[in-house]
Amino acid sequence: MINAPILIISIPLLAAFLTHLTKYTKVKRGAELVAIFAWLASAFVLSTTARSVLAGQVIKYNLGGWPAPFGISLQVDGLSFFFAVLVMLVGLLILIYSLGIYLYARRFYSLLMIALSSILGIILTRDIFNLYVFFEMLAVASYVLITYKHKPRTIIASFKYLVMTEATWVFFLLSIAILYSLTGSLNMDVIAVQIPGIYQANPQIVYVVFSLMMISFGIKCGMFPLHTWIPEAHSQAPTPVSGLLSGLILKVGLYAMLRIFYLFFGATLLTHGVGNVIIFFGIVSLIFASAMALVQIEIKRMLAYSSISQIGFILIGVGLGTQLGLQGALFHIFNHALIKTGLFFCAGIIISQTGFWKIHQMKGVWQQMPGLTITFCLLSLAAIGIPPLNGFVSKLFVIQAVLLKHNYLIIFCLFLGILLTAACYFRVIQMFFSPEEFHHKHDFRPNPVGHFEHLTVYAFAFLCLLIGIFPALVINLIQPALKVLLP
Amino acid sequence: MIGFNGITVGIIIILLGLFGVLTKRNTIKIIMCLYVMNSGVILFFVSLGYVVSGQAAIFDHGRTLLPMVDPLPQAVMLTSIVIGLVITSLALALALKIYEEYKTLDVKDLINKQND
Repeated sequence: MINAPILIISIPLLAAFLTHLTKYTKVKRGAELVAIFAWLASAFVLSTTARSVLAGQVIKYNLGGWPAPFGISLQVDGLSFFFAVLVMLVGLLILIYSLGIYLYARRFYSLLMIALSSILGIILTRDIFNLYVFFEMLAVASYVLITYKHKPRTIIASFKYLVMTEATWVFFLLSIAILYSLTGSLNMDVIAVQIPGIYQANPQIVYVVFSLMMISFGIKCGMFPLHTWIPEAHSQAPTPVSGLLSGLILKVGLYAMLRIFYLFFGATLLTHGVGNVIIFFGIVSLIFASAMALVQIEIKRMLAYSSISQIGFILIGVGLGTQLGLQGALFHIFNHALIKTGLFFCAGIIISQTGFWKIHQMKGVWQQMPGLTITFCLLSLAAIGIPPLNGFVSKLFVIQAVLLKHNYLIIFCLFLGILLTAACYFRVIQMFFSPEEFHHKHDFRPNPVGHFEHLTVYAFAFLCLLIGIFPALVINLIQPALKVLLP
Repeated sequence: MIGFNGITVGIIIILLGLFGVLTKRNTIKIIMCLYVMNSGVILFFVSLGYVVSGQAAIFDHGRTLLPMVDPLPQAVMLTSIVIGLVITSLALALALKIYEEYKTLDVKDLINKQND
């Protein structure tokens, strides 16, 4: 289908407005139905492009019929398809998880659909200013989603996220302005063709653009010195939104980094050792955040810091720039989205059942919820990287790629990071299996948890096991993406 | 030579705004500084397309109006102004909610009250 790219974005966006109109119908839970059906329709449209994209073709759509250098063009290629499949899968499970909780009403689904459709927009667009607009759309939707419960601490978390993101996001607009003044176009393909010539004439300006973009994508994906919004926002947001933030919003920042850095600077800067800067920030994120995760008291904050350390792992793969390193990075992006969203949902159910936020209070959860505890263990083993699970395969690729570079300092840091991650997850698991009698919080009434929540958590664990045993399922998706990144 | 034009003034305004975001403790002032940063970028971007005594790029019955200004930065910055407005109003709403809950606008006080 030639119209596929615009339909994939616009169907969920339309659903965002239709969810409010369900107020005037007599359909019970109409907003949820509209959201899920729109998401499935969008996934169907994506699946119609699968055959030609996986064969290496590119599906282009020009908005308003204006050809590429003048109008905005949308494009489905291997890399976009890989990320779109990930967003479809995790987005569907987030929607199903939210179904079970009655307090999430029309406004919630409307905002969620805006956020999800803008994520798809970021993935499919080929216009750099359009990328900026979709990122702002996503940011506004997520600021409001974090404050959904109207608790005082959520508002402060959202405010902190807003100030940090907007202050750095100005620099992305500045880098767009510099690129426009140099090339006279906002189309990514046109800019990419001209960058090597500009680098020949004036290398400093290309370095300026690179560093401005590094700052702005760094804050979106939670790179080390710019990570401070993550623990607050992830731990205070409602559980489905924590899953969305960790599973998809951080990954979209990484997508923008991969796409723009490899398209613009692939032939110039990255061959001159600038990838080492990304590796450096990756290592610092990995070690620092794993160490911070070890000392956290609240379980959701611990998971948030663990997200940052896994992002560090991915950044090392991105910075290496080799075939194997990028394969590991892309695979780990996929795995981490599944693992961490599942872990946040597990933690959410445990918190709503017991009323406890802190790890040391969760003694003997095993006796209360055996199925959920085993799922949590499975997902955390996947996060550490224990063989039959998916985290192992992707970490193996990254470590192999580093070994080929013969850099033993990075290897040491990677293993240190894995050990620290293992320590912080085993601390939680040990609390869960503690032989002490489980005590409910004083005068606490557990919220009813429906089948939908348990279903999604088991689905995440099943997917992790499935991909761990048959990694070829995802590697077949990664191969076309690698061809786009390294032509 | 660096002239005193929209481009340099734009950069100075961005840096002033960044200084404010980093040093101010009042939430309303932080939001205003964010808006100042945004305005600096808008000035910078619009100045890129500026031509001395240029006309708007509208073709009237085949007559070309030369010299004409670059219309794309203006169109793009119109979108950016709208986004800046949305962000500022949302941030002010959040600041209002914070004031209702904690009765303070000072960031240091907020951190102290949150830790209690």
